Amino acid sequence: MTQGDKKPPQLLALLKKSQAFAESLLRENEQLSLRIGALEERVEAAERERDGLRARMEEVQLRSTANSERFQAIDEELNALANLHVATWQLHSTMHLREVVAVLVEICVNLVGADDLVVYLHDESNGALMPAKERMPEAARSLTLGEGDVGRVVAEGKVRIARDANPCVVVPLRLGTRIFGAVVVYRLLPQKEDFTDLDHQLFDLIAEQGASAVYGAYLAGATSTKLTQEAIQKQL
Amino acid sequence: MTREVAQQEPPRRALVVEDSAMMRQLVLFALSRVPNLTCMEAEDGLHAMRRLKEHVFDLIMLDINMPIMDGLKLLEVMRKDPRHQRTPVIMLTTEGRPEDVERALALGATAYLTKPVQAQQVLEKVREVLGITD
Repeated sequence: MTQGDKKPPQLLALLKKSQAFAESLLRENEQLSLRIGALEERVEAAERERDGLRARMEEVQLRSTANSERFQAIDEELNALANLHVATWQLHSTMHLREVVAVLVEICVNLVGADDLVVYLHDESNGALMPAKERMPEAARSLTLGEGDVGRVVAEGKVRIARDANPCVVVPLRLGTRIFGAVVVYRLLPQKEDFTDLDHQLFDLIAEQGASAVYGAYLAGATSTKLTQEAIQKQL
Repeated sequence: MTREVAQQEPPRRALVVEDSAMMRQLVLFALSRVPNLTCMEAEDGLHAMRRLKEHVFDLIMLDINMPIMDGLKLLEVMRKDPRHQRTPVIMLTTEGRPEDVERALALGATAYLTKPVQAQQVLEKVREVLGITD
């Protein structure tokens, strides 16, 4: 047997081997294609999940911002309620007219930031507005209901707040149609820049609760009448 | 989260020295929102001196303008007592006069608040002075 006779079987074997190899490559390629397809599906799913998470995160962030704003608003409301509660509580914690007037001054100084102010009480017999307590360098003089700038505002019974006017605040103490006096602020503390919503609420509170407290304390001081069942039933 | 932090706050004791019942009530309301803080009150300097003899505080809210013994005098006396030398003191002042503020700080006040004061401002200052964070 010559050298040339051995070639065909060897070539054939080589071809077969090459064919097997090519087939295995094709199978592997097919498997890889399947894996790539599966991976692509997983990537797509992951991207969808990522987008979903992003959307959720944005939603959570928006909710967090909204909650934070809401918390701040509630905190401010709580703060305002605390001031209003303290003012009301103090106004009605005494039956002495002098103390009620002192509380009116304290509310204006400590909670609002008034510097110069006068609390006037109304003499319903002649319309005089008499200074009951002042926190001013010079003594305040009596006014007349319906006369002059302050007298007219008090007679109208509506709170007037004007930062640049003098006086800057006039709060009539009114209950129903009756005027019991007024709180007039002529100057604010230097650090008080402007009126806040809470200040407006406090002045409204002074107007109504202040009038009620003044009248209640006045009645308590003017009479020593005790509560009796007969008197109570007559008024119910 | 706030609740967890709140529970970790150590127990503290505060003294509110203020002659105005209204301001005392307002400051006490603000302090009631500080976790684990127990408050005592005094309506003037002398009353406060009695409290200071009996207790050591973690915080003192002190009004400057008070009858009998004003806040600055009380602060001066207080700082001479080793038990109260390091106690944080927040001064409350109406006029906000620079000389009062400077004197208060020179006497050892930690911080000051100028009236009109709102509960939220009190709370923020107290948190700052006591190092309480949300």
